[in-house]
Amino acid sequence: MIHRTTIGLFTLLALAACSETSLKGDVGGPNATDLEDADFSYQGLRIDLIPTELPASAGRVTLLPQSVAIPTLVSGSAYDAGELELDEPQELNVRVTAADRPDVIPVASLPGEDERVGLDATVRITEEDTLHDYRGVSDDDGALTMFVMPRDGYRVTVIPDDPRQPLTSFVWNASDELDLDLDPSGSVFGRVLVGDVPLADASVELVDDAGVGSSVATTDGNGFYEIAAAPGTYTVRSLGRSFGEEPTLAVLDVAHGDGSTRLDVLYPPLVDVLVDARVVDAGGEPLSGITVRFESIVLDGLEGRSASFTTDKLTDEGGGILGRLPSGTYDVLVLPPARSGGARHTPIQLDAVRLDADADLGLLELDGAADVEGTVADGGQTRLDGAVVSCREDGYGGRSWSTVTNEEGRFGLQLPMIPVVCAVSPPADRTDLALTRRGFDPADTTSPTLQLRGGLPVSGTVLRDGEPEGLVVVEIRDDAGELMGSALTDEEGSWQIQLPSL
Amino acid sequence: MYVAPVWRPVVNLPPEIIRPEGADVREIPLVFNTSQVLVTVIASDPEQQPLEFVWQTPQPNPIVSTYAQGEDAWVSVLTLQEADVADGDEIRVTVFDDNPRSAIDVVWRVELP
Repeated sequence: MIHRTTIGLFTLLALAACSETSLKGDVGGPNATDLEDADFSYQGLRIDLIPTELPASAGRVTLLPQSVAIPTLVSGSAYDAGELELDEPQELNVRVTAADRPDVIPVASLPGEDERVGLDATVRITEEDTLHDYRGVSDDDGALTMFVMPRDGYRVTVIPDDPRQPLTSFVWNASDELDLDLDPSGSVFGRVLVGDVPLADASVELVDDAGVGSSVATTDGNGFYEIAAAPGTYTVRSLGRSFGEEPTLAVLDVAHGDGSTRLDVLYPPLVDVLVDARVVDAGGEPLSGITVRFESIVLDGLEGRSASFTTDKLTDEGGGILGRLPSGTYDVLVLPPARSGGARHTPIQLDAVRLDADADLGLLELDGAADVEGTVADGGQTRLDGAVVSCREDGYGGRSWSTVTNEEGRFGLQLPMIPVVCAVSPPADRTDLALTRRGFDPADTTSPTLQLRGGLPVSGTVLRDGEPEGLVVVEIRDDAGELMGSALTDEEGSWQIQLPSL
Repeated sequence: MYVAPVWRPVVNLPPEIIRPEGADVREIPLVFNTSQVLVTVIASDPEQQPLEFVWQTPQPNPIVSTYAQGEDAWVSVLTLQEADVADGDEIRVTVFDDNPRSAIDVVWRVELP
């Protein structure tokens, strides 16, 4: 039997417009009337400036996107961000070096043999909640050129290609010299075992407290791995063998000091099950090219541990899939492919399917899509021509489709019959209206009216070398990265964005 | 005697690409010197019709924001993560007004450091 669920988070229909993380204030209760009467403020917003002049090559960067924090904004008070100067990027020419780690350790070192060597490595330089997130790769000799915005408080992470060289992170101010000579560090090491049996060729990585992963180490014939890292707290994650036989198993909060830290990863003996199914449309015709995704909820023998297994199977010409999975309980999502012209089928989800023995899931039937014909209007019910309507599935595969309203303010889209969230950008001549998000379920309504309202005006000017800079994309995002509004600077470098309000 | 026709075909002009510059004659290098790249195309339509943008990317469900700006400019911004692309990948956007026959393609080629 097919069971279709509504994936959560769909209570924002009436509230719309702003994400909860960015809209904060004295809102006395959860109903919409209270919210309309309440004062509110925006906190944690940022302005992103995105120059549209592209670098000619990696070695000739003249401009980079940059972020500027916005102070708390209060409803009813327009905010002028003033003149925002596009800073010149700072060029870094550095070398990643460390003590050599030869495969064969010499019995004794002669004077001069402990010289530093250049490392192949990836260097990440990041500032949290901004677009200042840079990545560079050093050459064989460790040499590296990067361009960064001149800011303080960056987190620098060096990820050597050789996991025996230390994963290293530190805070750096761009006004200081960047020293990438890595200190010697101990290793996190151990064995990966399935029951009592060593698991060879398993991939293991460390993940630091900022979520940055090390290079992947591969276990040897005895199941041993070794990853060097500076002292810190890490997650050790075994990814299993490359062909995906074992689940991902993580050991959290591993404290690693100056010395070496032993950490064995122990899988219980795993039982695989064989699963097959066939995906058809509402008329019973087989559907090929459909993704059937298995996402584990609980894996047998790994209850209470940080374990997961996810795999995608693509249906064949006959609509069939056949897969082997570790036994456990899974959510099964059936996801039609993205298609620019509109949705053709509706995805489904089977919740908490118990797979502890070979199983035939039978026929998974996908409904067609709904022909949605909606309208976009302002608060005075004036239909809006030229509004951009972009609708995205709420959950599932996250497919999206967009169109533009016609002269009558109407739009048409083929949408799946599951909840969608539509972002509506106002027409260019309605700078009094804000980008607005509205949710609805095409299974319930195929003729929604999406209403746009005014908001909180935010404006400013973008300069480059003291002169107005046109054609710069300006975006305002909340602390979750959700887009609140966009604009393009004009010839005077001016821009204005309406932040959505209730 | 020659009689000039009074009817003239209405020619729908294709959209004009304002940014990236030179997109009509070459592939644009898309240099990933940041972990996330915002790929931007700015276009206008000579007949001032609304424009639509269809992106083709290696990732199946890209994040795109599109909006109108000023009298006739349209902006579409694609957010790409470095983890979702490989060196040499093609990123393509097709820009068109209400007549897809006059569509214009803009093509970027991913360059990873």
